[in-house]
Amino acid sequence: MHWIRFSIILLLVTLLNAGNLLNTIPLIDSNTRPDLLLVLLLFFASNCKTLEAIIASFAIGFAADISGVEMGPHIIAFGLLGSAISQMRRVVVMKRMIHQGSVIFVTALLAGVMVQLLTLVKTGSTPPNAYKVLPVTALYSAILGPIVWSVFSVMSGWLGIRKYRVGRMSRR
Amino acid sequence: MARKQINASRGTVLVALLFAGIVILFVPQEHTKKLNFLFRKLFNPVLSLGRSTTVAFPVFTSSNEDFVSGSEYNRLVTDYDNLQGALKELHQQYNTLAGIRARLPEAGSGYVLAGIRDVSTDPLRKELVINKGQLDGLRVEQYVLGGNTIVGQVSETSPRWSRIKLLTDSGSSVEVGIWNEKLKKYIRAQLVGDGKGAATIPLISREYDIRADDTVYAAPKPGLLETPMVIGNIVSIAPDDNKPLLWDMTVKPLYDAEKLENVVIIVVEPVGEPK
Repeated sequence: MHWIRFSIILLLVTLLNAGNLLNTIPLIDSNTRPDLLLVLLLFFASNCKTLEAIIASFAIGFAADISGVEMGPHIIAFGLLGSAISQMRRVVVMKRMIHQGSVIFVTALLAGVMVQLLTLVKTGSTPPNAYKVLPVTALYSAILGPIVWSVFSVMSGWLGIRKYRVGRMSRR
Repeated sequence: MARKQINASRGTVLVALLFAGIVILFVPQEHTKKLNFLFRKLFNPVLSLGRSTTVAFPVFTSSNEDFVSGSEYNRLVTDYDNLQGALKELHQQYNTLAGIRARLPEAGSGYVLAGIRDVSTDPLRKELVINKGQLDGLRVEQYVLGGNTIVGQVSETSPRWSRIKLLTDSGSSVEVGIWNEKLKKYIRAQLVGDGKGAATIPLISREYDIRADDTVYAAPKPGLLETPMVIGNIVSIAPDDNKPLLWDMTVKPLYDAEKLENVVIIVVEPVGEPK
């Protein structure tokens, strides 16, 4: 994988995720936003070699934390989930949009819960409306995620990712 | 381009990165928040792209002196409510102090004007990032004015930047007063943000005569706010479905803080501090 190109994509997605530019899309506002970094995490975790996927997952978690409020929760949550998904890709196939959406939904919920728990550990408090917002964010990410995923797929050659193939020839 | 191969096992890399993550997690927020503020500062022009702002104080242009625009009317009503709040407080103070030896008035509030650098896009947080911090006298819990109403409180500070937790944030809880004309006093309550764009006031008995459109004031707090200041109006009030003896109230802040360009932080000098 081309790590410099990965860094550029990561910075762009982080700025898009944390900035106000997405608010110009009528379906997106500050109350309901998809988590683009989570989609990026799943894309790299399911398409890169395992070692690259682990490093990319922690890097995406770091980007999510630095663009947020607390440092640490996303690094651990995204790092662990990304590493786990890269191990499970022989089991969980994410070729079709419906599969991608389902995995994004489940992972967004898991990541959300982990981040809130770790935030509680760090700061001693979590937003009281987290249990209402997390499912909405997960659902929204699951609906829009596959479209964003297809954009990343187009760039996979430029990023130096040789897409993971399921089958006898897939062992690395 | 030549690519370097990473010579380490997956397990080693995973454990090393996880350990680094845990270390960062347990570094106190006092230190790690500098990185968050640095990111906001570095990429502020890009992050604020697409933020819709309106002029906080619309200029009245009509030539007819008998009529004002809707926005001007709202501003005047808010000013009037603020003056009413200050007047009621002064009356109460006068009654208390009547007969007591007159003393020198306490130092007034200081105001720090700050530009809004960013609005949080996290659905879990309703926050503003401003370009004033500890060096300008900002401290956590200080009240923040947007236009001429309270919009939130300072929640986190760094030397030059700070975060403002808006009243609509689900973690916001502010002591407020609702003026009751019959009792001639404020009904004290707690205003809790709903995380969307409004706030609620729980646990108020239905024995109080409260109606829609009643004005909600931020309650004075020693060292933070000297007189009541307008927050917003009650937009809906009905008996609580689960607790019929209590009101279920929704308060709408008067100003959309996300559209403001500047805010003012009330920096009250501690009483007795030498000048």
